[in-house]
Amino acid sequence: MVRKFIQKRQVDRTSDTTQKDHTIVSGFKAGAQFDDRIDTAPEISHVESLRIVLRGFKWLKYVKVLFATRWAMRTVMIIPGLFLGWFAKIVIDHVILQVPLVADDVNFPPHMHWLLEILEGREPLNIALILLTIYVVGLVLIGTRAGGTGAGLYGGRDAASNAENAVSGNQGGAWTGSEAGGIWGITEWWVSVRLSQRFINRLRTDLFRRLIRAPMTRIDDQAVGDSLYRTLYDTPMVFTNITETVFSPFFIFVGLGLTFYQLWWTYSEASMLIIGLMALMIPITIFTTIAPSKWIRRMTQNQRAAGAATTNTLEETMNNISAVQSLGAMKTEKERFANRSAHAFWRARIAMFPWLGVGIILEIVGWPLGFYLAWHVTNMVIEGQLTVGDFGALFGMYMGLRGSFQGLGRLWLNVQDQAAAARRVFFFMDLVVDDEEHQPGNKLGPIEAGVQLENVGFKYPNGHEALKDINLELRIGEIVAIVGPTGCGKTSLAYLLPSFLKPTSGRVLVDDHDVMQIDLESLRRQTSYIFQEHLLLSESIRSNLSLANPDATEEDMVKALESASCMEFIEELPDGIDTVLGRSGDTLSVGQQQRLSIARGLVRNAKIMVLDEPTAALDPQTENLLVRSLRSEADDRLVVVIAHRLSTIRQADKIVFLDEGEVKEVGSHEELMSHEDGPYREFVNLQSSTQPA
Amino acid sequence: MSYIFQEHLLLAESIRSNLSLANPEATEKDMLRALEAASCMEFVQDLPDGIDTVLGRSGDTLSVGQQQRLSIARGLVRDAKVVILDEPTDALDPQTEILLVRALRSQADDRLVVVIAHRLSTIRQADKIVFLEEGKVKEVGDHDELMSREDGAYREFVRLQSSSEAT
Repeated sequence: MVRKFIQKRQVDRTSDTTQKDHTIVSGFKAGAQFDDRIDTAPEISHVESLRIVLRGFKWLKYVKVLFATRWAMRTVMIIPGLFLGWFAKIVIDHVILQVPLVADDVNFPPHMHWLLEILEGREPLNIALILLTIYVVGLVLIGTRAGGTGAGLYGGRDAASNAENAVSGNQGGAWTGSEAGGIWGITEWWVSVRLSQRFINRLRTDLFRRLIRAPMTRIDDQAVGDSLYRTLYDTPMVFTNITETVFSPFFIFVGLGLTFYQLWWTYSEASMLIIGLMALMIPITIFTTIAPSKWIRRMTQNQRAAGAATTNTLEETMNNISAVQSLGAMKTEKERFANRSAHAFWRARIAMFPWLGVGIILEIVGWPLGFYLAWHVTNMVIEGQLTVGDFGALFGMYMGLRGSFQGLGRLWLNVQDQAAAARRVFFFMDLVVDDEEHQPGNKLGPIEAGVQLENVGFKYPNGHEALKDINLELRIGEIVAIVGPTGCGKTSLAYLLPSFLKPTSGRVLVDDHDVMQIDLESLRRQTSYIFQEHLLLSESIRSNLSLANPDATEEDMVKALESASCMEFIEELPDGIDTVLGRSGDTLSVGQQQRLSIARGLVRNAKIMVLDEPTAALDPQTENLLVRSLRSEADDRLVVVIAHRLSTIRQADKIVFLDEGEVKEVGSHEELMSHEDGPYREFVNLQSSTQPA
Repeated sequence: MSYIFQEHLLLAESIRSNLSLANPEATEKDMLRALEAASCMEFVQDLPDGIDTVLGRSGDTLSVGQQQRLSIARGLVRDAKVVILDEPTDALDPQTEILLVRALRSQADDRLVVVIAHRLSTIRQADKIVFLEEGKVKEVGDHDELMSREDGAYREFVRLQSSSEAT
């Protein structure tokens, strides 16, 4: 019935997944994956969720002092709770009802005795004045203790707003901010905001560090919006999780202990009854909270995946804005975004249901117990065993105890909720990064001989065999051209050199060292890969160049820019080399961007330089200049060029002709042209026939 | 109007949804025709889910040249009256380029096709060549007309291009 009701709702939950074979059934059941292509098994067990909670504690070492300060300040705030109830009792019995106060006759716990001695025998008005003075001093120091200090953000709208609160707010159960007000509250709030921000900043940075070191070909499948969501909105939940598992039980148990102490000391008879009722609450709380914990975990997971999918749509559309506008797809994209956003909110609403259910059950059970207690205590007041003020104090303590037990129950649920978010963080922390697949520390010296490929094969995870049994020798000082039809594996072959791809069979040797056995960074530092797509940062030309080589002097930069024929257009830019590049074409044309990205590759001064179709966006004159300047610099380098144009190919010392992942021919232009039926010769003839004779 | 960019901007969704983004009303037949015209069918047929294959961002699904062809197909499926191709053949090998230009030629009867191009093989097939320099139109005419001008800027361009290409 519940499902039928849910299915009738307006939000379309089936169209929003791009995952084949993963239709979203309903929030309670199927795990939604949306755009996840790497993190595809989000379900975790109870034990795993506990392990994830414990794992977050590792980051506490960066915030030791703040954490201890926060804990101590919070502990001090238990003290007002020891007095407020008893103040109320004095006001009711001795100010309003005007019963004379005699210290030995009244029923108070020991910590109140000093005050009773001050107040003994005074007029009701006098008593009220003294209590008021204490209260006003308290108000300035610690506030009213109601409300407390926080960032004033509202939680519960979606996972992202909850995350913002977890960083610097005080709503939605996050242990940031302070329970106190006044001077104490402001100080504690400051400490606690510093604590959460420093912790989360450290965790975010660590996650980001892992993300950018993940193998390029793998992490490319990860949607940018999802990485963004994990880094910004999932990390705060790890912090909340820690405070939840440390602070909550500590303060609940301290609170319980203090309440029992006060009860036992003052109302030994009635306290037995309250303790008995509380004992009844324990199994009920445990049962109600253990049962839905798996649902809560799953629904939080779904809610976050849906939130990330919204971010993805935004990222993808804005990133492809020229495609979207040129294809007139604005309406489609708007609807896609609206759908996903609505879906994410729907998931946030659905995720509240288990909480509501648990709350209702605990309320339903709690109230009859409260009524029974009220009836019993009223009888005792009528019989004269207790005063009217005692009724208030007792009932207040009962409510406090009940709250503590419910808090304990919610604690488990909170942990489940946060563990789902923390899992999303730790998943990418655990993803093997590039360096770890190699031998960190086993540094490669300056490359002297070159690269050798021994029976190298490469198969993509989807079974596509991109390269088959390749044997090649590429020496320093050579210009090597890789030639072949579209989709034949040219880029895959070139990707092997800086180890962007690792061979699935055979070995890649650099100076006779297997690349898998050396330190990856020491290899990458000596290689420069210029991509087909020019990926410039939206910063100045200078900072694009110094990203590639932080040690490059002005002279190095100008030389690289000259070799790539960039100087002619840079000289005309308003700020020259310091011109900031925009993303749109208003600064540079695509051809100019391409040349600049070649200059960026050149400024690295690397031993191995790979150019992946560098001349596609260049006109023939520019191309001639570039190839000539590469030629002149190739003496102590290995230059590998993937090319279609004959003019580029012919300048190579060695031409590697690839087809369907196999090396068909290797040799210089003249050598290969002399093979009567050679595939290269055929390729050249075809090419020439499409060019003017 | 359909504008095909130098950079291929495909969404990380299925091939089908990339095409229907461009033209929500395109039938299966329209899509296949566009894919064929852009020489995509040969590799689309080899993909595990054919036209429903979800494109990854990394190279394990399509090479850059294949992505480029697909983005051309996406421009064609719009069936627009004006089609602009901004250096469409950059990432294509010569054979594929010939096929594409031929397909464009055969569909150009009721369309205006504007091509921004470097390769002579593409340029020569145009009915009208607009030669631009420093933001100004220097010459307009077909290949033979422009080549017949002794000191023409286009002629000079072709001469330079030929000398740097295969001889």
